[in-house]
Amino acid sequence: MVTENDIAQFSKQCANIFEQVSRDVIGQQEVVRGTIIAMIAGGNVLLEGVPGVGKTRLVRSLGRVFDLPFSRIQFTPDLMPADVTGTNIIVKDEKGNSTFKFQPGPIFSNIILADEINRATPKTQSALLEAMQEHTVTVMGVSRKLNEPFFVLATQNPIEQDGTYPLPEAQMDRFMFKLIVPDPSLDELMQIVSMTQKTMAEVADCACTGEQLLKMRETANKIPVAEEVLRYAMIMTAATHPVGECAAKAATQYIRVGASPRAGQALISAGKVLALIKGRFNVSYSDIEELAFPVLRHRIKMNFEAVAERVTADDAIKLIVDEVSKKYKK
Amino acid sequence: MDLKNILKKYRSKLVKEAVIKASFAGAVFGFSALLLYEFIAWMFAAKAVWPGAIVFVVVAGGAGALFYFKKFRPTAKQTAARIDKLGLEERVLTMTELEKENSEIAAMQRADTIKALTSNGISEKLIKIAVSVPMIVALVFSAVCGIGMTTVSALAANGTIASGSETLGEVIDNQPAKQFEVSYEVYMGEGMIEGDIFQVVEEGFDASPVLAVPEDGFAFVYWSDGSDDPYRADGNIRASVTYYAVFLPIDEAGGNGDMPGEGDKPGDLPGEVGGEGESDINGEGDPNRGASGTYEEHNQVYDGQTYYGGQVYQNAYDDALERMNENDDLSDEEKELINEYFKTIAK
Repeated sequence: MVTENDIAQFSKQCANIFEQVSRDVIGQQEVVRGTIIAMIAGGNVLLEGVPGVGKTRLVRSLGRVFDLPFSRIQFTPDLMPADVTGTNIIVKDEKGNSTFKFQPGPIFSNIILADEINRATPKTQSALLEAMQEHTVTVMGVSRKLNEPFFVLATQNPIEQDGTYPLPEAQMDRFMFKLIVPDPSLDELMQIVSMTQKTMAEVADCACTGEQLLKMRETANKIPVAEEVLRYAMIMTAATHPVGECAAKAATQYIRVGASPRAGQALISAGKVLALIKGRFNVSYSDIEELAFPVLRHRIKMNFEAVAERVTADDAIKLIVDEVSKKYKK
Repeated sequence: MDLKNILKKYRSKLVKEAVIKASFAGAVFGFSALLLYEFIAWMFAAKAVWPGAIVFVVVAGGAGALFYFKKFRPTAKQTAARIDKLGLEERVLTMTELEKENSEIAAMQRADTIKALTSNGISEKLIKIAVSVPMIVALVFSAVCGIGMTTVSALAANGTIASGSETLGEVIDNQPAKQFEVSYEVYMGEGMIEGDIFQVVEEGFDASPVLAVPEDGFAFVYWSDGSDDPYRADGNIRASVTYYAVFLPIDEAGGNGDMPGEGDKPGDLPGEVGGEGESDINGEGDPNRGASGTYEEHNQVYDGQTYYGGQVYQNAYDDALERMNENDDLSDEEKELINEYFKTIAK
């Protein structure tokens, strides 16, 4: 049951979160907003950008703002799955008997910063799969539940860089959003340098506890979605497939593999949060269109023609959104 | 506030639009029916202005009502979607779906929608009645055709202009007949064709006559259709055709038997023409008549077979038999062999 008080609390906490994060992160408003929306909606976020644009700082700042235990895993080519999940080690009790004891890995935290995730091998990357989807970790046949709320906020360097392993599609699909972190503008750059001359440490204060975050998610989940809007979101997802009744022209031309049903779920879950952040009690077509980019860009696989013509995933999504908007919006 | 009351003023605007659209669509059908009815009336020169008007009213009214109730009448959702286009971001649409829900979030959503409706100054006046261009074009076109046909029908009924059946009859009568080309050409030899050598003749009519006239030293042999009359007048022409005239030199014609004879078909134009002896230009010469003009009955080739000449052969055969029988040196077997040889030749 959502009350008026819950809505008021949601708005207040949202404003606080944005305010506190802005103390540590200069600019990057779209990225900050996208990350917070995904966290409230319960999704994982993949941040992509060249080194030094503030990806790690944003995640560290969010850890402070939500006052949640925070683990950082620096992904390297020699990182092993057990280094992420933890493993059983032999310990001796008081009587000198040796027994196995599970030593939890860094994944047993609430916010996981998987830094430079695409520098680890696919085997290690896949160690996160179960945790990201089911919020459990299974080691040697024993499943352990992770604490809620649980998020993986991963950063990756553009795959064109040396020493990177592209994330497998299954793992990509488990990120609710993929956000592109742009280079800061000149003004932002000046502010960043001025700020970091004083201190490099994050200064954001706690704006929301884990419990409050879960409550915010519960509140957002209650936001109604009109049937037409729900249908519109599903058409948007289906339109990314190169074949099918809803296939958009751009998808037929440039896309090899379309988005999975998780994209549809993400559009609606995130759409509810976005609507509430905008002070609305319903999801609109514009919310779906706005979220189409972060939700779909990592879930579609471009074909050879797109690569040859230098058509990016965002270009294709823009064409799809335009077409779906003209064709299906009532 | 009741949802119906909230949407009432907007819906009434959309109802007006739906009525206009349905009227337009009905009028298109009405004018089309009028066009058809008046066309039939024009065909029979019947007075049909008032009946035509009744047909128009009935069809337009019926089609308009059908269009309104089946296609254009705005539902609550359509009304909501139309209001949302004024910048309400699907608030009204969602409110319509949550109409029967009593949860707090539904109430808040409703309150938010009403607030947005009032605070943004959104009124029914902002909803513009829109009729598509194709519909207007269809209406104008059908109206022009329908009214035009009514005028034509009325004028025909008054006798001012011809009725449809009369006009149709005239058109059929004035249909141009099929025309065919008839031409005459010299195929071989020297000569000319007097008369119109290229004629365009209507189907079933006769071509004007022509005459094949040979030059000096030549004679007309035949036309390519086998006719040996130099004068020809082709009648009842049913297809385009070309006739070729064949002339042969008089001193070469006939004689050698490779003349165009009976075995040649019309249209099989002669290949080698010539030979010695009597002229038989009409192709009826005897192939066994030699250069002297007398018959040589032996060793003639006739229709592809060698003709040895009956009497000559018989005499030679009889002579051979006689000498063979008188010759005692020949055995019976040798005599039998020679006898078989003569029989083979005879075959």
